Amino acid sequence: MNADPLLSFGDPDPMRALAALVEEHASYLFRYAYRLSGSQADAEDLLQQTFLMAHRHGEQLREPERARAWLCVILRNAFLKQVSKPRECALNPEIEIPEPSSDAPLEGGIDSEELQTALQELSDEYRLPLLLYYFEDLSYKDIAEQLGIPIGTVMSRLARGKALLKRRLSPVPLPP
Amino acid sequence: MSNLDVCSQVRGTLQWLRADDPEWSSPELSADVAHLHICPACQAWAQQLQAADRQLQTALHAVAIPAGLTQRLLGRLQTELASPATTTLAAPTVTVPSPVISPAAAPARRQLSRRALGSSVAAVLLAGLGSWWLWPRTELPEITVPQLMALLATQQDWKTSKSLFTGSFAPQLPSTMDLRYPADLAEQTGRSVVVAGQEVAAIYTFDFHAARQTWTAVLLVADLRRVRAPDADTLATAFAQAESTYPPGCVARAWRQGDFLYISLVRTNRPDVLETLRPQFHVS
Repeated sequence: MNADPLLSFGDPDPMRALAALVEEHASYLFRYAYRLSGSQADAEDLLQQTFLMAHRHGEQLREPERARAWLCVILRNAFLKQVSKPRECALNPEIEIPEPSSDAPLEGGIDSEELQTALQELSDEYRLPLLLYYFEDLSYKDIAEQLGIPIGTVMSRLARGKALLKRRLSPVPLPP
Repeated sequence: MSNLDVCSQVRGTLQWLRADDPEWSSPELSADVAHLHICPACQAWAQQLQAADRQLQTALHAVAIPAGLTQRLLGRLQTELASPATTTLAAPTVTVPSPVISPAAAPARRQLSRRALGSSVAAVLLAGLGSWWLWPRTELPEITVPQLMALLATQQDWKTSKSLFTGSFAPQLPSTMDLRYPADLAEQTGRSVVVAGQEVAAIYTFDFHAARQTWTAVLLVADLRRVRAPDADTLATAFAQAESTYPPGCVARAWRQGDFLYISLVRTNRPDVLETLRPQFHVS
């Protein structure tokens, strides 16, 4: 496949521009992709798709200083496209959705992998707003626009998503 | 309206704003913001809220970047985009170590919570191939399978194991070992096993989630390039013998892949989990 290289960012060599973009943003995007997909391999695939799309549609980026935000949107859309088909990770009907409780940080910190497990146990409707909030730095209003849902729903899902994570990340006894 | 009502109303409004939200300066919220400035209780609440947000944000961003990510990505993009002999990506400026195990083979944490426990354990522990010829074999120290199994057996006392790994004894990953552990294990503390002056293996504890419980497992990874590698039959026989000495409720799995021998041990009092985790030995 030979796509028209449209990404330039002022660099006469579009491939070099793409490489520079990869070097600057790959780590951040990988973190986001990993939190979205829960898998290192899937995250790398998402990154590849993201940079390919960026390469093909580079003209859409009007403000190069906003490249990261732009790439995040591409990545998120690539992920959503992947998961748009029915799959088994719907909200576990046996999970009781807690109401938001304490606003306090968790004692003892948060283990990254524990957090990933907890995230994967959330349905997309809770996980996505959380990740848009924490990775794309979007406001509630922006998240509502991006996801096409009312802002009240965003508020509710974010609050409940956080509450679920907190409950899941609270210390639990090990099996005997 | 009482003071408590005011506080409640203000918090109900302001809790939805990010710390850097431009809405803070919105005229509609000026009364709420003014209250926040004069109310110590609401200030404490706001600080707590922001601290919790920061904590979650920091944890969400704490993802280990796999070795060689940029280089690998550039290679994949180049393959995807390049027309023959004309288009090349600029050489990456990052220097990365050559991973012994393909990062693509690292297991997904998501699998742990969604699949049967047995396959989950296997998925966590799967790793790719190493480079057999990197190390001379003529000077390898000997280590037998029973020795390895005995090392693992010392971890059967979970309390001891926990204190080993979370107490004062928490060595770093042996830097001289060319092992790249699956992502799930990368941040776990472990201890190396030294035989004849060489670090030949590492023992790890890790937690995983399945059947709505947190389980603790022990994993031994032996680098068979550093020890004399037994043949498959010997490994299987020795493993079966050693496994039978474990106390009831311990389920062991072992397999060899490439240059690494993996032995995992999970303890459970759940018959259904025991059934799922029937001892197996695989040689690939």
